Amino acid sequence: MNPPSPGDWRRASPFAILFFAGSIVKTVARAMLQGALIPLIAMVPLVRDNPGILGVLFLVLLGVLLLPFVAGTVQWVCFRFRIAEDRLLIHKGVLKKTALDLPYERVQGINVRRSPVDRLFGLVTVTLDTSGSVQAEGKLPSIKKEVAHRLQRSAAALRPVVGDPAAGEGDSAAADASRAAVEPDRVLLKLGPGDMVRIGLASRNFIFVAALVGVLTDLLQPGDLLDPVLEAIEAGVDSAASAFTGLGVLAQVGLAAALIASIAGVALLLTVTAAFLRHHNFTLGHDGGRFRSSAGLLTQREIVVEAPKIQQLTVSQGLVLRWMRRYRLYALPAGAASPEVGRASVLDVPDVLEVPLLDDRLADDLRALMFAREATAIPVLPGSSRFRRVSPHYIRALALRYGLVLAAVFGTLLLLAWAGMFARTSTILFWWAASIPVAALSAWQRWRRQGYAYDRDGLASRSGFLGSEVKAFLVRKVQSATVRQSPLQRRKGLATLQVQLACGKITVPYIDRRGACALRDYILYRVESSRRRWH
Amino acid sequence: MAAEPGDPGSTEDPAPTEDPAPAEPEASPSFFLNGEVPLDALPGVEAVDWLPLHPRFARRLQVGAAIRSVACVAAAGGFHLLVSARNRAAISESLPWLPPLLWTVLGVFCVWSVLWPLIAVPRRGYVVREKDLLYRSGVLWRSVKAFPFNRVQHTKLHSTPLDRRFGLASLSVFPAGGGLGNRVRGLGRETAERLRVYISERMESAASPAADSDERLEATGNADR
Repeated sequence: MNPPSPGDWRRASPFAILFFAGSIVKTVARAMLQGALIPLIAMVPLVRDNPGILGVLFLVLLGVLLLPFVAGTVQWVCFRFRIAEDRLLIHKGVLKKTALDLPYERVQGINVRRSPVDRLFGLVTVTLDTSGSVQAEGKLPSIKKEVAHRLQRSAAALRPVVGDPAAGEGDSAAADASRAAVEPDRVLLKLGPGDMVRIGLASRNFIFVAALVGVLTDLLQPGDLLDPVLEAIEAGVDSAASAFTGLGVLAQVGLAAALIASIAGVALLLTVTAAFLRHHNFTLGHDGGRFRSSAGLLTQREIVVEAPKIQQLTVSQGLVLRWMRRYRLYALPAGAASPEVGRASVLDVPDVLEVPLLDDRLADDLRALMFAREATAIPVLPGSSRFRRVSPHYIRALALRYGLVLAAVFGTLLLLAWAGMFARTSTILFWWAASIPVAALSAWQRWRRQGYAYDRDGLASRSGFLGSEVKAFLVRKVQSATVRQSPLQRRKGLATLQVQLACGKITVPYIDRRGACALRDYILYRVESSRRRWH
Repeated sequence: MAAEPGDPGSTEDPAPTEDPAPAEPEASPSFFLNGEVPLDALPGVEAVDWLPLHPRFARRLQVGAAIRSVACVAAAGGFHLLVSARNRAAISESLPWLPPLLWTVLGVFCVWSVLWPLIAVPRRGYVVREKDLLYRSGVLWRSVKAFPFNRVQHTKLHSTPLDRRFGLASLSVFPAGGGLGNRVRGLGRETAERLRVYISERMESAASPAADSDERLEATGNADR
């Protein structure tokens, strides 16, 4: 097979139709995900009672799926690209024609994604991350692997590792950078099957999946599978009220425990499977200024992020991860949405570099590498003792906020109760009273998790409730800074500092007003006196 | 002024014959060596003189609020006539207090929205400094926002028909990472245009032409282009 000369205009492989159709489906699905999920679950008992309806549903689904394929085919016909010596040209668009001209100097990362179909035919889907743009710009769906490699090679040759900011400090860093050009990636982390189980265990979705499994088993089984649980709980309450009545209660409790355990087991199986699908064979490599992660069981994804482009490091640790003494890390490049809102966003945002499981040593190393020896004193691990507490008045403010919400909720319930539509008034008053200490405790816990730390180059803010999360960034990459004061804060001489980064906002609540203003002034000083590129 | 180190304040200085170092307030490297930031020593935002917004701006907001109020009252009146024509009797029988209550709430709301600009606008203000734009706002919840010019991606002038009648315009600055509400409303039209040009000259693209290779320029610090 001889590769065609570099100047040719060419088309993506026909499998790109799948990609185009998929992206249409994805856009539609994202728009209606929240609305459609509940009817789908509601449809389960409908299908269970009347299997004939499945055929109709299938036909509807087929029609819905066919439309994107037609649109995708048209898009594929109109899509052409050309790999020139120093630039990539893309022509696309059906009604709205777009001509994209990307010089390689501007390409900062070439992210590669290989779906199972792609892998079967030796194809890859390439996303180009460019400097200066907030969105991921160029996308080449389902192109030949050799073409992608050529693209990677020529882009890397024309754009050597940029701005290892420590390069000016000494020749060792410069030597590092020059060596990196010939040396392959230094592997920082590899995750094996055992780690996948841990990731599945620590998954944030575990509770959600468990609840879903529970609901589904209840819906799918016409028998009253969950009833023993409820009975057991009732029985347990009864027995606590009276005394142990005998083996019957114990057996019921045992049955319930077994049921809960099996539901948890199924949920665990699902989350571990998800971890395998997403993170199988996770490898994190580093050369000079670029970080490269590749992972995936069926769809393989390779994400490349240059260190200067990273705006924020997020290190999070849930309860399970804390027990395992592991962390999860996200490196957010400019324009990326935070991991929590990333899925809901419709925009084509650059990929977030995610390290699903790492220990404290590697987290510190990554901090040092990604911030390139700036901000050496800011902690990224949630457990660090270098975090300062925010003012205890924060507890009061949070409690007030929770109290208002509780008052609104229970006030409505009370009104309903008075109107005779709901439970007894005394019950509601009891639960209201019971919820107040819980709210106060939650506020206290939130305050305990809240913290901040800074040094001459960076700032870190910690927050959380049960788990905790540290967001750290370089001060010179701040986009704008705000100091806010509520009436309560003004009385106590406190303020909230909020900074805007190119990937989101970070808030440091309830610190001393003078400190907040001075910190803001220092941030402005650093930003305004910096002439280094921030992305 | 003799050979005696008289002043008690400089006990840490063993050689008082020299003048005290004039570079003290500047951020000299040794100043930051220990990693701690001496927060009090920096030039602050507190000392600036806030520029008020255009004197006609409060009146313009009031006119806008009045127009909205009239529209709301008209809509509510229409609704009232529509409803009460059909079941006036039913309402006056079962919920006699409801219409007066709703009308009172609407009235208070309208009066409040017309009066509010008189309270809020004097508390807003802006400052243009050499390297950033500051904007303060808020009556109960007060905030001061700062936008460094070398992080601004683009700017936008905007004026509604009502703004133009009062000769006003608003200026939006957009740093990377978006976020709405970065708008300074109520500038005079010429002021806004001049401000836009001023910011455009100092924006990121203009400030760092050789952005890729200026690692060492950092050493020059605040030096101008």
